[in-house]
Amino acid sequence: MQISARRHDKTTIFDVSGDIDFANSPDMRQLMLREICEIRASRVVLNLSKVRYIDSSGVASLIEGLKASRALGSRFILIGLSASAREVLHISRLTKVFEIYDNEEQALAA
Amino acid sequence: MKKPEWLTQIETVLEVLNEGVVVADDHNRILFANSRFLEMTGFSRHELIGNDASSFYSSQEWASLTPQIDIVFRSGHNRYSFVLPQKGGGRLPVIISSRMIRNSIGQFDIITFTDISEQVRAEEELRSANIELKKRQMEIEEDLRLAARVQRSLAPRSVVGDKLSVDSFYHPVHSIGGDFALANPVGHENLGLLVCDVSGHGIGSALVANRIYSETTANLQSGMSFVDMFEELNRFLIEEIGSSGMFVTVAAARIDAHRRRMVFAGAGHPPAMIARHGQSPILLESRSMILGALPDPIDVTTSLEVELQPDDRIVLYTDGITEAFNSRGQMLGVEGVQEIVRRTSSLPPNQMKQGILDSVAEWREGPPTDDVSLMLVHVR
Repeated sequence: MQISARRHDKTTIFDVSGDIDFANSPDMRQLMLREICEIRASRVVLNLSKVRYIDSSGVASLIEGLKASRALGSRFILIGLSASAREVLHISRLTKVFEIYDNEEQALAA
Repeated sequence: MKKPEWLTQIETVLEVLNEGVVVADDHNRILFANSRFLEMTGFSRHELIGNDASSFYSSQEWASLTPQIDIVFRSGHNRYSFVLPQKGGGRLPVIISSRMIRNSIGQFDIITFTDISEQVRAEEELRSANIELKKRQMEIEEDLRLAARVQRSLAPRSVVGDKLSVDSFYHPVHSIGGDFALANPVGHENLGLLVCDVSGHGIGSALVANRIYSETTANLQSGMSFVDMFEELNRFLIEEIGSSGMFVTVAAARIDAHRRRMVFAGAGHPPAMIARHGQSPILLESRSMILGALPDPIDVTTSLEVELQPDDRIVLYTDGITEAFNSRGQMLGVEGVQEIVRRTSSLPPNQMKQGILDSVAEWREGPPTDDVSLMLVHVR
């Protein structure tokens, strides 16, 4: 997995690529939580368009991000879900708790 | 031999070096030793100068040293590790670097001694730590073997009744894992089923799985509603396990074999399937979210009732089945599993489980990367 951040005003967009799994999800979690809790971005967008698969530890990291955002009143948004990532979130019934958009334009306009 | 003039000239330089330096003649007699060497050995200059180097070593040590000295005489230089005798009888580990100088007066051996006692001590500590680690690893492996046996004992046994039969499969990706399944007869006519997946693999997940196994078994037996059961499990996970990033997915069912009715409920779990002759497998989707992650994951309509028919096959499984990837990077997914279940449902009940497992293995590139559980119920 590779992850890079772009910042515009108080929005941070993470571009993630590769699989999010047990081996690398702690890194992603650390970066997200730093952005949410320390840098206090008011909106964190995770661009997952280049992510093939999210395993259960990756899902746990996304939930951590969501919970931290909720606690601080910021927004946590997922965009560009692949079919398999969407299916994993659908089965978990998490699609109803995450703010999900098809692309960056929609996420920034929302 | 009298101290040569060239040595007198370089003495000041040799004195300031951080390494011990000795100059000996071709009979191994010590002509010079710098202050660092005196510090390393504890001998005074008076005790060293003019004496044969061999007199400071045991005969066994000297026998080991002689071939190294011969190399210096033959090739002009040598570098090796050995020990330096100390006044109290101790031995200081050193690297000895020796170089031969030949001039009109004779042959001289300039020998530098680098103290490597710290390095040797560190190596010794590392060796001891490695031995201790290997011992600990063996203990952990033994514990894991025992834990795996305990966990295997939790795997549901086949149930064969007049009206229902249950067959199951469990394979942890490591020696122990976070999946478990149970199939418990409740009275004469009813059967309680549960397939549970604790996120992650390994010891932490297995401990949580074992902890909730007994809770859910009791709740399933007692006839507690699935809504209450899931609420209880969610509360337990959030309050007792805390924010460890661990969560649980569950598929639970109670089957009244006599009336051929099933109550099913799922929480964030891949849909159970009912394979029925001549139809595409019916999906029983989770209505509640994964448990242990968020405060209100339960949907009040989480339980659904299903009328069963003779020869129905009910398939419950964990995401180790759906999240199998082929060589083209495609996930099998629910649709893929549904197709496999449809195809294999024409097999006799006792061959269907293996048919599903074989088909998943055929799809998947390489060995499983997640725990795999599968439970197959045949309605007779």
